[in-house]
Amino acid sequence: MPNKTTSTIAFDVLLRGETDDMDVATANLDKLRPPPEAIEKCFRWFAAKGVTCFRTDFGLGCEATVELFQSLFDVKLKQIGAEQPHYQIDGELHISKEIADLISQVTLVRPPTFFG
Amino acid sequence: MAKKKRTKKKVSARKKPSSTRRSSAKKTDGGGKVGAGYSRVIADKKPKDVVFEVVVRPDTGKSAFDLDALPSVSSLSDYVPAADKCVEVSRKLQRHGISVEQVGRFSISASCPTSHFEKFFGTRVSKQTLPKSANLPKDYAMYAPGKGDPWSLPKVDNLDLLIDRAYIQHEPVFFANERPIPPHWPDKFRLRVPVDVAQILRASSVHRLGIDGEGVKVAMPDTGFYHHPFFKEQGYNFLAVTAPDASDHTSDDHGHGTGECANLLATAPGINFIGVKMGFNPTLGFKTAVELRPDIMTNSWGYSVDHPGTSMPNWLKPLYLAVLDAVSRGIVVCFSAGNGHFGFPGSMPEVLSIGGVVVDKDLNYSATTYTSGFESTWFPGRRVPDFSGLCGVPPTADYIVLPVQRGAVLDKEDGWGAFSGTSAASPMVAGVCALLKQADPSLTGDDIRNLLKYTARDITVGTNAHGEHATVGPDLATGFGLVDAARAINAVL
Repeated sequence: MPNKTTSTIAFDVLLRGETDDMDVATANLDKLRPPPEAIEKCFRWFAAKGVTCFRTDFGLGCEATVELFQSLFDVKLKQIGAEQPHYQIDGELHISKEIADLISQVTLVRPPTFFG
Repeated sequence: MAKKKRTKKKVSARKKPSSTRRSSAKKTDGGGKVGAGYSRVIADKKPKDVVFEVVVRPDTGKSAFDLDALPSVSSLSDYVPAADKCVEVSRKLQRHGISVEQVGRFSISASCPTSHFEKFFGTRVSKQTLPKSANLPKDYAMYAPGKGDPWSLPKVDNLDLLIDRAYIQHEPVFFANERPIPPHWPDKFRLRVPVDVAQILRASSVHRLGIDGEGVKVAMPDTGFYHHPFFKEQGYNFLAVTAPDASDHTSDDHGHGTGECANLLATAPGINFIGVKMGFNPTLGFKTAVELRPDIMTNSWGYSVDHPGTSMPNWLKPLYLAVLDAVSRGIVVCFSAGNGHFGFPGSMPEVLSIGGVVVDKDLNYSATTYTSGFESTWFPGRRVPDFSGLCGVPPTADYIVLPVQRGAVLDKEDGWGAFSGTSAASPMVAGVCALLKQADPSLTGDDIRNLLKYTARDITVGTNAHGEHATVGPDLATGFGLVDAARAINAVL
């Protein structure tokens, strides 16, 4: 499935909703939706840094080069896995103070298994 | 089953063989009165029946087969026999055991057993040698009277005076990259789409009631959705789009999405299908599909992560939320349970989790050691799967013949592959969900889950990949068993 070069990575940025401290279910899902202005602010921040972003209900879907990701979050990435190589964060992410309060988590996307 | 369908097609399919092989009376190839043409045969075996065109002799004394004949629009009337003459010939042919399919202006479309054809025209039908340069499919064969074979018009009822010529018609070669009809590979038993899948899941009888998923929108995020001639041949409502991070919605270099969606369309041929080609990020592909506001989603992928002694990692939370969001919007979400994997999101309680059942050529139903069935660690009390579709057996689950883009990773031959893990099962069940949605649009995901559970065919034989045995009643091997479309629909009508 991956149709990008190996140096491009996908990552998800989940933004904070009304509360983050709960067991999630369809019934309380709306409490996790961030305010639209928070999504817009983060979208513009990442886009300005050269990240390709897509707005979603709970945050952003993003793509960037490994180098850009490392510099944005002041962290190292290491490649793991033989069959389905993917990157793992080595250490702790540092999110810019400009948007840190809005962000719940930043996670790397891994390729799925097709159950063919 | 596949074999049965093919035999039927030879006799009555819309596309009857076409092509040409002229032979003529008195062993000549130019001036004879009858020729022979078309019959597509897969095995090296003379076809049981032949289809042919009988050209009626025009009253003008001219023949389209004359060496100097140059029929054109302006001179066409010279070659048209009187209408009553065509009817007369048709009646006489029928009287002599030949089936008349259609009476045209110039020729009569007819068919009969090959042996009768040989006797009637005093000839011999045999396999013809075709030039290698024709670049025909490997299993393409043409049966007709050979160049040196005898040939004569029947001297009964004046037919030799009424008929100009007759030629067997041969199956055409489709000038697409792939064949529109699934091939029959004789090395082992396999199912073919759409008929076998629809029949075993008992969806065919539902289609005959006029319930085929019409008006129901089903989305499927996967590797891509190539516009295979098979889909066009079947007349499906087929749309492919890309996720924002993917490109070229017309291609599927892998073949997985193109092939597996044929299982969905087999059970619900009237749906509005939207395939979403995933890019780098499957969560984004999933969310793109949700934005299209489908009634149903089917997903033949996941992560093998819901292992004992683990909890959900943060990197899966975005996908988890996206799936919950889809369910909260009222979308019925199906996920494959996995092929020996501890599949997530297939283990989420909110989705329909789909396992697999294999049916052999003698119609024995059993669990298969290819598929997953387990108790979720992440979601206490969640037993995977809910129920099952059709699935193959190890080592490769090479079971259902499915369309793929020629040259794709899963292409076995001529744009067709055979791959059938729980990836095949989920779209089949999603198709049955679509039938239920059409029958009663007010049904919720939970309603559908319950209907499918309590109308499924219980599977009591076999073991799955996790060593779970099928028993009487629900179990971890197949869930509640194989989904039964007819029983499910009967429960809501």
